[in-house]
Formats: sequence, structure tokens, C-alpha cells
Amino acid sequence: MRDNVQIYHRKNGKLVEAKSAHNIMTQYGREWLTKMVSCTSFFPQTPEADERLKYFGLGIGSTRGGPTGDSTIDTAYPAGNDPNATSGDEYDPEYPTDPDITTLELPVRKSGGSNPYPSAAGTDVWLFGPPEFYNTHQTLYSVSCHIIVDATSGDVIYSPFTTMPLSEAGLFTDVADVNDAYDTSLVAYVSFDTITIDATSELEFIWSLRF
Amino acid sequence: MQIFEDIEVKYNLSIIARERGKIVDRRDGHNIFVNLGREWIAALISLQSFSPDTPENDYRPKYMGFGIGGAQQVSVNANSSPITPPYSGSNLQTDTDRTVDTLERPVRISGSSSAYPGVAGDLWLGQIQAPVSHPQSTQAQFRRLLGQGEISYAPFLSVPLSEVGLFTSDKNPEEYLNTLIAYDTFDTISKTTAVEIEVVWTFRF
Repeated sequence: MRDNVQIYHRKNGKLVEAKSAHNIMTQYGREWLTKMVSCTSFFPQTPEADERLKYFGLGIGSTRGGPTGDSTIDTAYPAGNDPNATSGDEYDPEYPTDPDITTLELPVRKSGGSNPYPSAAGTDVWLFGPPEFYNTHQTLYSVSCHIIVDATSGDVIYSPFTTMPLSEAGLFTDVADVNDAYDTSLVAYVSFDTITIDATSELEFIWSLRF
Repeated sequence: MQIFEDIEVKYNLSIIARERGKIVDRRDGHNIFVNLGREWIAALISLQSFSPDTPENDYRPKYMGFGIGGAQQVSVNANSSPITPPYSGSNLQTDTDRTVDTLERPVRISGSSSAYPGVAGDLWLGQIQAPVSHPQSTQAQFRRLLGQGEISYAPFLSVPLSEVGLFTSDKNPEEYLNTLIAYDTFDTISKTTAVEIEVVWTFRF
């Protein structure tokens, strides 16, 4: 199986880590594709869905992550608030229906505050969008989403967070609410061995959906 | 749910011929989502610019087209009058070749009996039914019913169909050669004025 998610971790401009992984399409993602090719009417053309890839989210959950033992992080991002009320380390792309993956498990903010999920400020930003998100086509038969996470300019790493052990990510369509930690328009999900970023880190994700 | 290497668009095609309501012929099988289709769907889900969000394309499956080409054509009538010379051509295309981009020997839904490229007013593609149906939430089913007078009209009273294509909404149904997104060639089914043909094309994601 070819990995379709490439992750590059750079510090001070130098590559320090490179990982690859393979995503799963969520049920929402498969239904989204179904609706995208379907019209309820042709006069005028009325597609059942009119959503495109636009957002990206990061988290510290999945079977390859979970609660960190760092009280600052675990207080801000406590387990049990996802739709499955998991312990924070249960989402497994190998078994994506047990529990059913419809959101990130322990999403982290791009920017904002540090309140735990239930009391997070409505202005906290949980998803990365343009200009940190853009599309290319590595082949004619794929779309590659490029995402830049720049902790040097405060993405994810801001007071009181000095490090963040990332282990999951998701792609979302343009209907996603960037201020919602648990947005359910997650179309694809990936987990990976922990990448711990700090204020000198830049991450580049290249996420290709191939047909 | 399945872990995909690629996002695989699985597809089934069912072609049913009925005469006075009774099934007289039937073909079931898999067809191919050709390279142009893979290219189309990759662009369909992508934005080419943001603020305002501008899709790379906004075309959806809208038409089916039929032909007498394809490697599974077995009728001698495909190469004799009155089918030829109006619908002359070869029978080389397979439904395992992703580089197929058009029907090989398209036939009109209605119109004249002129040779390719036909004349103004000829209709080469038939619109599928709307709304698209969903047997399951991850399946899209495209349907087209060919009425008794469609395709088989004078002088083409028996047309040996052997290929079908699925086309997006940007295509011109009055042009004889359009690029397609999915294709199938099948053992010949004769379309006569006594026969109605129902085509059910299912995509599964």
C-alpha cells in the first residue's frame, strides 16, 4: 500500500524528521463523494453536494498518541470530549469503525486560548485553511493538499504550550467551521507516530487523494 | 469500510432490454472509470482559488451515450447496410483500457441518418434521470431509459448496441464525439422499435 500522506518536520529550516502514512476515507467522506457526483435536477443543475477540500486539522489523539502526561497539554486538551467519548488514544485507522472516526480524537488549536474543549473560546481557531492550505495535482488523477504549519509564527505553539506531540490529522471540506474543535465534515483521517513540535518547528503536509 | 490505496470508484452496469414489458436480454458487469474520469473527479473536489472559492470544475454526470463500437461487438449487422456507412468504424476498444476517451462508433438517440459527424439537430447523448438515486448512502445510481423510438428509427430499425459511455454536463449532446468519464463494451444487444432498454450505472465510493 502506497502512503499518500507525507510529513516533513523542519527546525530552523533544516529537515529533522520525515514520515509518511496512509489515510482512510471516513463515512462522511465517502458520502460526500457520492453526493458530489449526483444531481437532484439538471434544469438548473443542482448537485447534492457542492463542497470542496479546504481545511486541515491536527491532533494529539489516536492509538499512536493520546494523553501526554504533560498537565498543561492534557488540561487544555482533555480526553473524552470527542463524539465517542474515548480515552484519547483509541482512534485507529486500521479499524475506523470501532470507534467510528468522524472527527479528530484530540484536536489541537491553530491559535487561540488554552481552555479545555467544553469551555474553549468561540474564537479559537482549530483548522488550517488558505493560505496555509493549497491544492496541486501531482498527477492528473490526484489532488494534493499542501498544508504548512508554522510554529515559529505561533501556529499550535503559543503560551502556555511549549511543545506539542502531534499524532493525528484530518482533511475537511469548505463547510467546516474553523472555530469548532469537533467539526464533523472530516473526509479523510490519518494517524502517525508522534511528531513533537516546538517554537522552532515548521511542518509541511502533502496529502494526496488518488483516484 | 475499507482502507483504500487509492480512492477507488467501483462501478457496476446493468443493461436490460424489454419487449412489451418482458425482459428479452440483459447484460450485467463492470465497466471502467477511464483516465478522463479520474482526472475529472480530482478536479471536481478541488478549489482552484480561494476568496472567493472557485472550483476547478463544476461538471456532474448528466448524459449517457451509446454506440456499436467496442471489442465485444458480435453482430454482422454492425458492418452492413443500413448501419454502414452512416455509423462506420472499427471495433477495437475494450473496457479494461483506461485510456479510452470516446465511444468508438457512437449512434444517435434521434435525428438524421447522415454519416459522421451528422447534421444539426442530431442528438447523440441522452440525459440521465434526475434525481440520481442512492441504493446506499455511498452509491450513486445513474439511469437512462431508451424508449422504443430512440436509436432505432428509420432507416435504423435494428441497431446492434455494444458500447455505452457516461458523460458530464459540459458536453454537447448534439456533437457526435464527446469525451467520457466511464465506459463499457458488452455483447451485442439489438435495439429495435419493439425494445426498450434500461441502463443502470452505479458508482460506489
